[in-house]
Amino acid sequence: MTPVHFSFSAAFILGLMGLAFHRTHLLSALLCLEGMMLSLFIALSMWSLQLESMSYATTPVLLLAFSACEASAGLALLVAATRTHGTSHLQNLNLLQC
Amino acid sequence: MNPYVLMILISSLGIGTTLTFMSSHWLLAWMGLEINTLAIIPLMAQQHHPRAVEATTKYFLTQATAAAMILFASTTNAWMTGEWNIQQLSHSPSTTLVTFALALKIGLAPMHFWMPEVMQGLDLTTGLIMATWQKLAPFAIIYQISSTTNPTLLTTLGILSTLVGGWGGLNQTQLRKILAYSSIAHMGWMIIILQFMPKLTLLNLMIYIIMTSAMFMMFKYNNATKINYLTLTWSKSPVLATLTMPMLLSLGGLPPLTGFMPKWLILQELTKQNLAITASIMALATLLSLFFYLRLCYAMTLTLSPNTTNTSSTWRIKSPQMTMPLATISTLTIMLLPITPTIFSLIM
Amino acid sequence: MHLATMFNSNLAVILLILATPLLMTLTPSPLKNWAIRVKTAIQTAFFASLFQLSLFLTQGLHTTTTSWHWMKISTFNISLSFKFDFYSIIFIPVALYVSWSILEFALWYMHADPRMDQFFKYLLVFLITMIILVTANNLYQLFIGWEGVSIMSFLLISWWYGRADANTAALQAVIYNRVGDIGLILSMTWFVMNLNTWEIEQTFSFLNDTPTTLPLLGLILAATGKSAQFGLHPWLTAAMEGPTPVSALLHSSTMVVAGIFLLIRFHPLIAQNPTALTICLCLGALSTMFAATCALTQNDLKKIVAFSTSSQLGLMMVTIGLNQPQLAFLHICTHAFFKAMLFLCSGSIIHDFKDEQDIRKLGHVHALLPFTSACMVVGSLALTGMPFLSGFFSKDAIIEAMNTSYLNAWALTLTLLATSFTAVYNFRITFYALMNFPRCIFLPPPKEDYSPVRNPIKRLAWGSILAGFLITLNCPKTETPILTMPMTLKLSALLVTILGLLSAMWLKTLMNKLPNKSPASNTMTQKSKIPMDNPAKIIFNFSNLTGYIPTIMHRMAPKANLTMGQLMATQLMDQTWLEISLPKGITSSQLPLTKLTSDIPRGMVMTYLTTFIFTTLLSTLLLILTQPDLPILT
Repeated sequence: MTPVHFSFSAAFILGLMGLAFHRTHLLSALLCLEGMMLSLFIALSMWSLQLESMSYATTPVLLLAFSACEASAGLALLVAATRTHGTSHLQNLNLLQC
Repeated sequence: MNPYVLMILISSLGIGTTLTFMSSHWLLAWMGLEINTLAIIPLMAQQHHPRAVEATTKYFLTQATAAAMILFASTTNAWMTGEWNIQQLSHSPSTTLVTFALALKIGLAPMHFWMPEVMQGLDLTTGLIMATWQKLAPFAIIYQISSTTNPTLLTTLGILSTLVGGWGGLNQTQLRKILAYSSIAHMGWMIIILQFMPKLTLLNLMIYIIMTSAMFMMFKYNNATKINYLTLTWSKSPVLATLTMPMLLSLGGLPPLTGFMPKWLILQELTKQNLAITASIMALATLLSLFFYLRLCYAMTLTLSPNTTNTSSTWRIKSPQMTMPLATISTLTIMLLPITPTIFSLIM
Repeated sequence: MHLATMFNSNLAVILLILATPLLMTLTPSPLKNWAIRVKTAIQTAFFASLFQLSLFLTQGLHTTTTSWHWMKISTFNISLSFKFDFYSIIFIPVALYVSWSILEFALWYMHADPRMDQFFKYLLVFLITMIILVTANNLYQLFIGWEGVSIMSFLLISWWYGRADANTAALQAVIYNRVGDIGLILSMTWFVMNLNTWEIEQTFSFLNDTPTTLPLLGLILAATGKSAQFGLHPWLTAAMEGPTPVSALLHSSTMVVAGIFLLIRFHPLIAQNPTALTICLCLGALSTMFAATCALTQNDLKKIVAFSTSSQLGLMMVTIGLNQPQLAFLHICTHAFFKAMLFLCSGSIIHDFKDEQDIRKLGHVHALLPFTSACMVVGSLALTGMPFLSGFFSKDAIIEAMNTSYLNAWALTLTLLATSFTAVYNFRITFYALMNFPRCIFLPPPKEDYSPVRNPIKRLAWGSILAGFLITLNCPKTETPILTMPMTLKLSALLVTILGLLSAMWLKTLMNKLPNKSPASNTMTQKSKIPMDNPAKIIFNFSNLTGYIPTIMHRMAPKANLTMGQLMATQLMDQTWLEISLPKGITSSQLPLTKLTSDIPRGMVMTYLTTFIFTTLLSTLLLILTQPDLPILT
C-alpha cells in the first residue's frame, strides 16, 4: 500500500466515520459526504496521474460534477427539512418510526 | 409537479438504471446509480409534508453513502489491480465492501433499517417504484459480481434477511411497512441463491417485481395504507377483495400460485448443493412472512370493518383509475406457476 | 334307521325344534302368543333329547360329527363339528328341563310385560347359544356360543332398561365378560399360532412337547370372567337386576357354568399342568369362601341366592383344581335344578309380596305360601348337602375327594369353611323369610294356586330330590374313587354343615335375647353407634359391602381413570401442548424477536449508517483474519 493510497483511504474512512457517528446536524453529514467524495476525487486523479493515462483524465472531473449535483440535492433536502421540521437536527427526523 | 420536469425526472430514472445495466465500467455503473438516486429524490419529495421530506433525506443519505462506498471499493480495486471492469473485481476486501454497499442499497439485513421507514413516508406510486424499479440497478451489479463474492457472507445475509423480514412484518399494521419487510425477506431469498445459480436470482427478482407491483396497485386502487382499511375492500371491489387473497398467498409462496415457483426452485437448488439445513431455515423463516400475509387475508376476507361506509354501493360506480394493468399483473401474480418450464428455459 | 344316524341327527332335531318359533317370526303375518309357543318348543326339545340320552345310557354311544368345512385358511381348517359325549348328552336334557320349567314360570311372572314375546325369544336364543357352546367340538364354535351367551345376557339383564341399576348391571356383565374374553382369545390365538388347530381333541395330542401354561392361563381367565370367580365376580350379583326368570336361567344351566364347562372340556390339558391345577384350586377356594362370606350378611333375598351361586361356582372350580372334572360336571347338573328352583321360589315370593325382596321385611311366608316355602326349604337343604338330596351326591363327593387328596390344606380349610357358611345363610333365608310373623302389609293375601307357578317349581323340586341320584347312577367312573378313609373325613362335609347350622341358631337365640331396639329411641341409637375399630363391625362391613370390591373396582378405579384423563387433557394437552409448546409457545418465542426487530430502527438515520459501517468493518476484519495472505498491504 502506497502512502497515497493510504492517505485517500484514511480520508474516506474518516469521512465515513464522521457521517456515521456525527449525529447532530444534517449539514455536517453532508459535509462528511462531500469530504468522502473529495477523497475519491484525489484517488481518481492520482490514479490517472500515476498511470499517465489520458483516457482517465476526465474521470475526476466527472466525479466532481456528480458530487456537486449530489451536494446540491443534499442542500436542497436540508432546506426542505428545515422548512418542514423547523430545524436541521438529525434527531428530529423521527416521524417515520411508526 | 410540472409535467416537463416530471418527464425529465422519469426519463432520468430510466436512463440511470439503463446506464448501470449496460456499463461494464465501475465509474459508469456508479454514475448510473447516482443519476437514478438524484432522479427519484424530487419524485419522493414532491409532496411537501414532513414525512416525505424525512423519507427523502434518509434515502438520500443511505444511497449516497452506498454509492460512495461502491466507488471507493472500485477505486481501491483499481489501485490494487489496475482493473476497472465490473466482472474483474478480484481484490477481496473490495468485493466485501461492494457487497455491503449493494446490500445497503437494496436493503438487506442488517442494513435494512432505512427500507420500512422510507417506504412509510412515500405515497403508493412512488413506493411501487421504490420497491421494484430501484432494485434493478443494484441487482445488475450484484449479478455481475456474483462469481467473486464471499459465499459465507451471502448465506449469512440471505438467512438474516429472511428472518428479519418475517419478524419485522409480524409487528406491523402499516401496509407499506409490511410490504417493505416482505421485500426484505424476498431479497434474502434472492441473495442466498446468488452463489449457486445467479439465474434463479433474476427469476426471483422478476416474480418478486410482478407480485409486489400487484400488491401496490391493489392498495393504490383501494387507497389502503393500514390493515383496517383493508376490511373495506369488499365494498369497493368485491372481485378484487377475492383476488387479493390468492395474491397475498402467492407472495407468501403457497404452491398452486406464482410465488411458489422461485421458492421451489431455490429450495431444490439448495438441497442439491447439500445445504438442507439452510433450505429448512429459509422455508421455516418464510412461515413467519406467511403469517402476516395470512393476517392481511383474514382482515380482508373474513372480517367486516367496524366503520360503516356511507354508501353501500361504492362498487357500482366505475372507478376512474386504470384497471387494466392491475388486472394483467394480478393474473400474472396468481397463475404463472403452470408455465414454470417455459420461464425457466427462457431465463437459462 | 341306523341308530348312530338317529343319534347324530338328534341335535339337529333339537335345534330345529328350538329354532322354529324364531323362524316363524319371519313369516309375513306373525302369530300371537309366542311365549307359549316358545315354552312348548323347549318342552318338545327336552323330550326329543331324551331319545339321545337313552341311547347314550343304553348303548354308550358317543360320537364326534364333522358336518361341514366352514373355511380353510391354507393349512388351517375351521369346520362345523359337534361333539356328543358324556358331558353334552347329559347337559342338554338338564338344560332343556330346567329352561322348560323356568319359561313356564316366566309365563306367569312376566304376563303383564308388554314385550313378553320378545323376552321369550331372547331366553330361547340364550338357551340355543348355550347348547351351541356345549356341543362345540372346536374353539370357533365354542367362541360363537360363548359370545352369544354374553350378548343375550346383556340384553336380558337390561330388560327393564328404564332402571339405571339394570343398565349398570348389564354393562358390568358385558365388561367383566370382555375381560374374560381376552383370556379366551389369547388362548385361541396361541392354539392357532403354535398348534395350528382349533379342534379341541387335536390340541391334546400336542401335550408333551409344548409348554401349555400360557393358553391354560388364558382359559382360566376366561372361566374366571364367565363363571364369576374371585376378581371378576361382581357382575354376577349385580345381574340380579334382571327379571327373576333371567336370573334363574343365567345362574342355573346357562352362562355361568360355561366357564367351568370350558375347563372341563380342556381338562386333559389342565391335568398335565400342575400350575394350572393349583391356580384353579386356590382361585376356586378363594371364590367360594369370599362369596359365602358375602352371602352371610346380605338382606336381599335374590342376592343371597346369587352369592350362593357364586360360592357353588367356586366349589366347581375347586373340583377342577382337584383334577375331578366329572365331579364338577355333576355339580353343574345338580346345582342347575335346585338353584333354578330357589330362584323361582324367590321370584314367586317377591311377586306375591308386591316386589318386596328384603328378607327383614318378609316373614311368615310358610303359612301364606306353604308350597313355595316347602320347595324353598328343599332347595336350601339340597344346596347345603343334605344327604340323599341331589346336592349331596355332588357336594359330598367333592369334599370327600378334597379331604383325601394331599393338596393344599389352605384351600381345603377355606372350602370347608365356605361349606359351613352355606348352612348359615340358608338358615338365614329360612328363618327370616319363611318363619316368624309377617313384617309387612300385603293386600290382597298372596295365592299360589296358579298352575304356571306350581308346576315348574314342583318339577324342579323333583329334580332337586332325584337328579343327583340318577346322574350319579349313570355316570361312568373314569377315575377310581378312594374307597377307604377315616370316619371323620367321610363325614366332614356333613359335620361342618351341621356345625354352621348350630352356630347360626345359637346366634339367632343370642339376637333374640338382645333388648328390643326401637329406632325412635334416642338413647338406643346413641348406644348402637358401634365404633369402627370394633372387629365385629369391620367384618360385618366387609361382608355386607361385599368385600369393598364394587367400591374399589366400580368407583375408585374409574374415578382414578377419569381423574387421570382429566389431568392428561388439561395438563398435557391444554397446558403443555397448547399453552407451552405449540401455539402459545411459538408466540412467546417469536414475540421478543419480533419486538427486537421492529424496535431497533427508532427512526434515527445515523443508526442505519452506524450498523452499516460496523457490519462492513467487522466483515472486512473477519475476512482479513481468516485469510492472512490477503494482498491488502502489497
